[in-house]
Amino acid sequence: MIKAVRIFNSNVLFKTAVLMVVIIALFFGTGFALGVNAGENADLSQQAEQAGEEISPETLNIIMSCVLGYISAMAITGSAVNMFYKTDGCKYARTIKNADKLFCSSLVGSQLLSHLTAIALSGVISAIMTLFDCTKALNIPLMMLFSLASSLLFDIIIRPLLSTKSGNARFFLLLITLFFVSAVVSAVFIATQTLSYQILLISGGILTLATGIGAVISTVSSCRYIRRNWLS
Amino acid sequence: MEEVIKLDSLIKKYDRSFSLGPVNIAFPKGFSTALIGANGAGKTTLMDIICGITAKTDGEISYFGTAGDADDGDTKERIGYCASQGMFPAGWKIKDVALSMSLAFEGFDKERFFALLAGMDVPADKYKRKSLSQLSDGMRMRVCLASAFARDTDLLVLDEPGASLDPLMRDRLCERFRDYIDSGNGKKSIIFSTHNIADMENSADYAVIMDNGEVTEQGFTEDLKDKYIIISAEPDRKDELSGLMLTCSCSASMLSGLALCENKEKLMAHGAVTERPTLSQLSVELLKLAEKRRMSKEAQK
Repeated sequence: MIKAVRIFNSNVLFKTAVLMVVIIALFFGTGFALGVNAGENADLSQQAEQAGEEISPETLNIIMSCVLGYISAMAITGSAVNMFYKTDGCKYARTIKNADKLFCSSLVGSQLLSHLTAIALSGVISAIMTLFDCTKALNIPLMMLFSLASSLLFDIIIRPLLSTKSGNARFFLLLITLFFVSAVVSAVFIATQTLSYQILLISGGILTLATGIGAVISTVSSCRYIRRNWLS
Repeated sequence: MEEVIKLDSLIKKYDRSFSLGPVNIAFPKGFSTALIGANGAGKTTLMDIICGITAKTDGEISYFGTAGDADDGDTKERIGYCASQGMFPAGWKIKDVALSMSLAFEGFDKERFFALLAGMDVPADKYKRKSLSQLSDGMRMRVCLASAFARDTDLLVLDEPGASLDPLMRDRLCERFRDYIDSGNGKKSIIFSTHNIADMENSADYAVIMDNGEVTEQGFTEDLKDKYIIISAEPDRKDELSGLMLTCSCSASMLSGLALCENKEKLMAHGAVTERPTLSQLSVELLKLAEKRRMSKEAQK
């Protein structure tokens, strides 16, 4: 699968994944180190409670994980989908033995890479926050779960993205999913404020399962579409 | 004659505007075959079907003596392909081509690829920051040709390889064709399409002339040159000669055209001057003949 990803996307997707994790690590690491040094956010949870603010750092972390999860899927799986348009028009790909199966394998590989990146991104943030006592270790699975669910959400639209020939229509499709992500983020925002940890964990699991099923259906359909398209 | 590829009643239907075939061709093994035809004759479609890029509608293809599909066994591994355009994604750089080819094909030699590029005046170091879309058509074709020649193959299928090359590079390409054929000891073959017949005449051992999706003539170049003759005569001899000629062009000063070699003596008796055709002359006249027959067929309909 890794070989298939590299054949069609060179090493670009792997570099993107590593770059995203490194940038987030540097960004958060530097930010928190500077913040702690300045004595501004020694214990954000405590500060939030004392100030009586409605948005707790845990809520912000989960929302951040959702957004980053979606961005990782958009950057990595989106590039893989984009590669379909490029290779679909070029003859090189079809001279490879079982190119259609190989491309499907490449697409699935890219999706897995994007999910791993989503988990890694939330892992990096939670690790840094735990290191600086800004969050509890208990919140780490929640952040990873919601990040994974958000990246899986993007996979649901890969089938229409593959068969949509016009660039404008694809842009419109992406906009629709952005609205969906906004809805999920808002729901998460309210849920983290009102629901208990266990219920939040269960709802995160249900969301991941639902988006996962959607992603599998969309991926299978995409592979069929690629096969049908390339064998014509 | 042993054939590398044999097409048996091959048909490809797109829509009402164009269909290919039925095509019957036996490409000889150990030789270089030129596909010659007007634009839209079906040369690229034919090559795409052979390489498994486009699916056939009907008919049978035998690869290296075995009937089957391009995806069967190691067939695709044994066929190198170079398209006239749109071979690789435009955003790729030379190193991406090398990486992808080395992963996709076992017989691809990366070092050989870079050495071939350097020999074609496309040093990878100089062009490493440029994507293929930033290179000229000629440079892109050189990258494409190097990627095909860098593989360990038994057959090369090249779609208009000389089209965007300069005359010097076209000459070198012909030399490379010879080297490739000679290195195989009768086992390596080339199928290429061209419009620059004069430039690539020495590279064509076998010729297939196509018109409007059909094969109108095929054979070894030397045999075809023996089969036909080019005629030139005074214009006032038109009435006597035209019956013996396959194609006939008449200007105020000269009558010229193509005829069968078997009529040579009769034509000479009528004052015609005959000469052995070059492949270029032969191709043009045979295409004219195909067009004439097609138009009369359409008129009958």
